[in-house]
Amino acid sequence: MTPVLAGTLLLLALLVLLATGMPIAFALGLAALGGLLFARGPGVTDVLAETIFGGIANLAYVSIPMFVLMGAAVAATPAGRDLYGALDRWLGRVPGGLVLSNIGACAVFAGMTGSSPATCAAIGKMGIPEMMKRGYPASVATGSIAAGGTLGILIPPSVTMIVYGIATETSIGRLFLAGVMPGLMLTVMFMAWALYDCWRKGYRFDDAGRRFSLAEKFAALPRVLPFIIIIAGTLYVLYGGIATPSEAAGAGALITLVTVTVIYRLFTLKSHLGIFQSTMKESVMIMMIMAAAELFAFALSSLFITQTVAQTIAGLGVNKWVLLGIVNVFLLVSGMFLPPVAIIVMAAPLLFPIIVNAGFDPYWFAVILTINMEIGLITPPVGLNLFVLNAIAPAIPTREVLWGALPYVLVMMLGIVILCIFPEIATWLPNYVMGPVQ
Amino acid sequence: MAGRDDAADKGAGGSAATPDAAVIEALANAGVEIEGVTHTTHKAVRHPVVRIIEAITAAFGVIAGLLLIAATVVVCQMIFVRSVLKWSTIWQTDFVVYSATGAIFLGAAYVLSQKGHVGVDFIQSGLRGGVRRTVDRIGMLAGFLFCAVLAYSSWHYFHEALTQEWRTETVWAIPLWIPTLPLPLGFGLLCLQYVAEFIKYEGQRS
Repeated sequence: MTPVLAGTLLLLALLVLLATGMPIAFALGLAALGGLLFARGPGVTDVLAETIFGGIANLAYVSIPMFVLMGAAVAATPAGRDLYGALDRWLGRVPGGLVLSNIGACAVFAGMTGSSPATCAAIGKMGIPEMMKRGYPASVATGSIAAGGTLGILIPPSVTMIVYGIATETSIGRLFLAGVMPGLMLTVMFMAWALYDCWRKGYRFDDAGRRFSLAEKFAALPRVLPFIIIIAGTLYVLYGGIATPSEAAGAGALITLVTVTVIYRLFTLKSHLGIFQSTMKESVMIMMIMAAAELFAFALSSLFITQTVAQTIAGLGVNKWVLLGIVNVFLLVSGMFLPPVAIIVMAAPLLFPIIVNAGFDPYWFAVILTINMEIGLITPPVGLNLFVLNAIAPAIPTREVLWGALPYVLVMMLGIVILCIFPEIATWLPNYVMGPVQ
Repeated sequence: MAGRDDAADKGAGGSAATPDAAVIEALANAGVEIEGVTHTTHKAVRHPVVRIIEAITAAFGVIAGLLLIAATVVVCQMIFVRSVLKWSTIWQTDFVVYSATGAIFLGAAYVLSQKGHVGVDFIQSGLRGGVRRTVDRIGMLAGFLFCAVLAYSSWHYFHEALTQEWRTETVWAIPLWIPTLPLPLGFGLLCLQYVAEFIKYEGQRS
């Protein structure tokens, strides 16, 4: 069987399994199992567990549950409402002020967690009902949260950057820094779109004409304090030369737990149980998908699919921007069908040498890849943020959410184009803080 | 997260334990009493086999949670020991990696019982009647099949580590069977939980 035929069959098997609604992790794993049995025979079952264990028992991956824990701890409190409430006092008079506040709150929250669905859930749980109450259409409310939530994996800490760092042996600290400016850029672009859209449609739903005095505006600022403590504390541990990213994750989780416990008086065991339970659920979900993706990557290379694709792309001899275009289309399409961590585990080791040989910066490429993954999070059929929105606002049809999120997808594509023209947006900060790449 | 099956979400006659209840129940089973929490009693009767299996998987869910907490605490201890006391760290890295990895496998079955593993439900949820039932069953069977093969494979890996007395290639050099034990346990529990899912699904159909 040729690698092309094998690859097509493997992809078809995966799609059929996914269509049954079974967990993505097990669908990936079972399709991989089929491919491996074909390529290597029944003896392969002896090495499956070793492949999985070797793939995920890694100190850097330990940071994933801990960055998820940071988000879960904050999400268990009314902190999300306080955050956008404070922002709303400043932005309340602007057309679509609450939408802007929610996008801003997503960006701040993204600075405390590595996960997009967590960002989406934490801000959306309180933000969507509030926006609807003030009269925003469902598509505007959910679309902005779906898109704002994707910032979770671009603004550090970031689960996808950690996985990319391991898969390509690049510095996770540097990757995090590379995501900062593009993350802020996308936040501003999202806000600009929301502002324009709400102004164009004439949405002005402030608090029934209530104006906040300057004193009231400043009085709301201390509510943002816990977020500043958490973000500053984690950044200090991370870049103050104290610890590696995975250690910083542990310290960040502890700082977050202590901060929210003190400020929001979470002194019962039950509230902490809830935090650990949701952390465990999301971490297990993400890591099982990664474990299965390790098997899938093993199947792809056993069937010589990886090598064939790499050789084909290298043999095209096209202009490097055409090459980047092809890679982008590939990432966008795979992002529609698989969660980000699975794609990075499988595709990063394959694409990385191609991209670096073409003369692109590996840290800049991590940002491009992450934005592609963000788009995948809000496009069907597999969009984790869409699933989250469906869970927190079940009455709103997915069609409305998609319609509301579509403009933000275009904004992200524009963001990719801007980053291609000005790669310094991604590379300047890491070079400034950590010095040029050796 | 996406429920894999809207109807099945309601469990056997709407009796699926709420997440909190399951944790509390598991803690109670493990002999831990929580102050101020009254033990939840389930209104509808669940199949005894389902009850036993879900008590076991929930207990391992609690263990997984405790392992994650332990990993977080030890990471912080490691930073303190190295940057404040300026000592070298020996066992901490291994402990953190293996407890966090172990937690993932040990907790997987509990997460399955809570519909926490994301699936693509847009095709399956659009189907009706017999086709829907067939697709649901194939999905569960496929999941079971994968977990069963991995349970076998990880048992083999664990057994080799145990009998050949392999050790980790780290400073601490602990016997490898300890960190690999959660794999066969975890995939075994997943198989068990799939049995419970089958029973719940068929019970709700009849």
